[in-house]
Amino acid sequence: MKPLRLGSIATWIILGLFTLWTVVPIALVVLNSFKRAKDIFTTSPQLWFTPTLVNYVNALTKANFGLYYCNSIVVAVVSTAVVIGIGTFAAYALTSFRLIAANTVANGFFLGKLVPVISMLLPLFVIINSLGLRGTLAGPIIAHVALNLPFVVWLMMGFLRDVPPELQQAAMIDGCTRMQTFWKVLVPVILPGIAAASVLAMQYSWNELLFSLQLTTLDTYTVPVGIAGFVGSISVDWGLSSAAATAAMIPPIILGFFVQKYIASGTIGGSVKG
Amino acid sequence: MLKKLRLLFPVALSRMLSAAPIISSTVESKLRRRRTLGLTLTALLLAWSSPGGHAAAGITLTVSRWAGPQADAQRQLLDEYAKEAGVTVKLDAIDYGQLKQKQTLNMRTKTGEYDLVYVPEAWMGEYAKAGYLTSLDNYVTNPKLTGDDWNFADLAKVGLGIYTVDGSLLALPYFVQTPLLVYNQDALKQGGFAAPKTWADLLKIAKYFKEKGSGIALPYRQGSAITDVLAVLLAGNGASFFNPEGKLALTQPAVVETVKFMQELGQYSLNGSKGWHWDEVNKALQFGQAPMGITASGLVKALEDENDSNVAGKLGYAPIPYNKQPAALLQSWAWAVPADSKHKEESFKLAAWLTSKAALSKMSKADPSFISFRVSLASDPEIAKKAPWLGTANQALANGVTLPLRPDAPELLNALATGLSGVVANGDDPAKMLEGVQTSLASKF
Amino acid sequence: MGIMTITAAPSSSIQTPKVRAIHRDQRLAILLLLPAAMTIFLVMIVPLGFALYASLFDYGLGQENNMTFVFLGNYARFFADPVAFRSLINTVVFTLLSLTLGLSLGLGIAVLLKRINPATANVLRAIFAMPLLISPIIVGLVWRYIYDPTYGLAYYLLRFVGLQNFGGLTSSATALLCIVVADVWHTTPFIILVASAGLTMIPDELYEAARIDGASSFHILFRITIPMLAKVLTVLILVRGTDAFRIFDLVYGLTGGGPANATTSLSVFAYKQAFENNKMGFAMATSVITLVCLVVLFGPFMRNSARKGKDI
Repeated sequence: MKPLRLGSIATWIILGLFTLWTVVPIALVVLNSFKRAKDIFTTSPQLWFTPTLVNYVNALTKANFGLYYCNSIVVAVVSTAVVIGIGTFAAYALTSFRLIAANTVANGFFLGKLVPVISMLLPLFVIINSLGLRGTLAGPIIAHVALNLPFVVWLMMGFLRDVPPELQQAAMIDGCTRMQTFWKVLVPVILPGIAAASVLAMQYSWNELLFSLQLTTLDTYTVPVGIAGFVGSISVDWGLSSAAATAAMIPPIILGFFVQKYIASGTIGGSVKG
Repeated sequence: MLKKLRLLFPVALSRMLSAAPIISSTVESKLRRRRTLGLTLTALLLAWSSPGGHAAAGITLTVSRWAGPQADAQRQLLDEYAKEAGVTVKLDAIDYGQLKQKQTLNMRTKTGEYDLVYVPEAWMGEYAKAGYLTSLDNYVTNPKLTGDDWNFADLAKVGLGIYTVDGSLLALPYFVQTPLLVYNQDALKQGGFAAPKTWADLLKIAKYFKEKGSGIALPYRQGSAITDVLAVLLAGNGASFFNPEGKLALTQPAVVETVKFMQELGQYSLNGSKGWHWDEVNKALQFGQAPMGITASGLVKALEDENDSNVAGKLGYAPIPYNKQPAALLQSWAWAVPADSKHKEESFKLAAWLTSKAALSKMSKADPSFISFRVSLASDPEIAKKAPWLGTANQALANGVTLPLRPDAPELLNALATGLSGVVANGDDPAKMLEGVQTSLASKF
Repeated sequence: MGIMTITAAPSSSIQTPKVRAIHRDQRLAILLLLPAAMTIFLVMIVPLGFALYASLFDYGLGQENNMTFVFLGNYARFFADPVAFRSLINTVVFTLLSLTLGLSLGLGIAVLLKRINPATANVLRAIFAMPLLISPIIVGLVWRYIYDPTYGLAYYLLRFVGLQNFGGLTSSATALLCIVVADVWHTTPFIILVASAGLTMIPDELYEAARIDGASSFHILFRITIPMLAKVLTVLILVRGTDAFRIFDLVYGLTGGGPANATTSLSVFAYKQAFENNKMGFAMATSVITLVCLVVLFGPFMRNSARKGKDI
């Protein structure tokens, strides 16, 4: 069918342009990481230049980047696992049971998202300090779980509501308990949603600065803290911060690639047959 | 209590998860593995999160300041001290934007985290009022802590004055910063100009460069830099934000004249200046796009860096041109000992060492943008060799003014920054702008 | 919809006649809900209460012991302050622009991705996700670099089309738009990811049936895709809208709120009041006002998706 052919050329053009638009700023950061400052600040973009690794070397030596990386990984993985876990459970509770105050609680979660961050800082600092957890990774983990929870709960609620209730009913008729229904039937169906939420939660935690800096000490700083240190108050070390940013980009990007197939794999199409 | 929680938590979690059925699909097993991993990690973390875990064999001092090249130079100095004095010194150099919050959070909650904090004159009033800092009066006269050849009198009086609140010295002045004029000597010679001294000179040269396609680089972004420039130009015009009685007087003719001058100068500014802070101006100078510019002395080291600068050795440094009398702006940072520090005397020892002539001289040699408060170092030939701007910077020490330090000053400066941005970017009328700020804020002063 | 006929039991409830079973259910639900609810309550709701309380006082950072009671003084001050009003307008304009552009672009791309083969789509989607994965500080930095009139890529390209006098970030008229562009770049990945997940959950059979019936692409888009995505769309509007309304890092990094407050958003305004002017009470009042605006603007979307969950 001719119209389809034309449509697919247009599709590819649009996708191509969008790819360019997406990639160019990132390419700038990566390229800058291999340039000396002289080559970054030129009046016309330089594609040809003598590359140097000095920025990466400095990033490793000037700040404790190896340690920051490890800390970031722990914080991101743990906080994401926790937030997806308790968030999905909460979403399940709010959508599939006839809880009386479900609406209020759901709205309460949303309200939590609107709370100004500056008002969260001092109370959280005091709580973490009095629990003796200041300077450990537990501080940022708790903060990230709390910051990600509202949107994870709402996202999972959205996905769970899109699942036809007949699926759950069928499972329960077959004798599954609630939790069995959850694991056996719902989770595979909303897996794309879980995958999407995991990536988003993890990237937020990976890049979060405020709480990761204020609730921790030298041994427990994370990657964004290190990057922020290179972006000074009155002077920015472009090469250094670009190198740090490039190195920081890699784990989330790898995760992004890895998770794509879960986002795109649909199981609902096959699970509801007449 | 905490221990109990730590044990209960994984149990409760596994109870909740145990409703999961026997594994059948790969997907479920992946999830299972992820869950177990998460569980293990959480358990490990909670177990491992013991604060204050390092058994302090000796004393550990933690120093708080902003990160950057100066911090790197400082780290080396601190390592030297640590070896000499037999203590451990940790440098917590973080992003400047978060520094005040972190210092305040810790001092307010009395965590004892920091033993030495780096404080600019702008924060002194707050910190002093809140009682965050220890008085150093008894320490500076104690030779056991300062060393015999410390020479307290050598520290510039103006610096000590800034950091003395209610008669009590609360911090040791350390680092001086001042805006100054930088110009490319060849470019100026080509135009047949000498280094500009007055406003008229500056306008002429800036106009010349603008007509040739470049212009003067100015930090005209809406922020602190533009008000710094205003402050030094005001002082150079024999005026100030306040009248002799101490009331806000922005509609004085001298003030209006100064803002008008800034507007005119802005017309000859290098393209993009209206969005530039100190850093971008410095970069424009460093890489040769700007033949002239007003930058901050703390950044100029990069201009003379042979590896990284396109104009090393070609630049001249001068004070900001004046209208009625020479003037300079004095900005500074100092070391203070928090009231909740657990090692006050040791920290003061460190602060005294840092402000000793030997250490300051080392710092200036490692980072030539670093100017100290020691009068005897002001004319040190070795430092002057690496720092052609030394003379200019010392003028700030000699007759510099500071930004207003009263409690409501930040509001005034913010309102002025906004107004100035409108004047230079949108062509607002200077007199009207000043009137507006005057009416809205006069009651506070 | 003949595909989805299952002989299901009457829809009211599963045959668990015993009340005990229902209670067991409810207890399980509460147990499932508890960790999340407690976390949110402790970490967010309590501070919110404190913020409400603190907004009635005038004090500086760290001076919680020296608060001066001003009752609604801070709120009055907000409404009398032209800068505050400007920041409110800026924020609303920014949110509308960023949301509209982002949603159309994001949804469009997500739909297009469904039309090409899955392997390529996965790779492309992973690439499109990248802007989101970069630290906001760096996003601000790189866009500041791009927009710089002397060094920036944007102006390099503009010079080719003769638009080198474009105001960019230094003109009050265009600065906000430039920030919107940077924000759309940064946040469209979020929309693409969530929309893609939502699209995946639409059964393929629906599309097949529609195509067999001879529906055109537009028809499919508007009659099938968008309605099925309705709930996901609502979540997207809620999350993206509230995020855009509270934009901070990008604005602060790109323009510092200027020129002449043309880009100051409510959160930048609150930040400056809190940490530069040392007026925490006023900043808290601004935050409360922001919250009220958010509830007013996005509350209706919440009510739409807060229909009671279907009985199982």
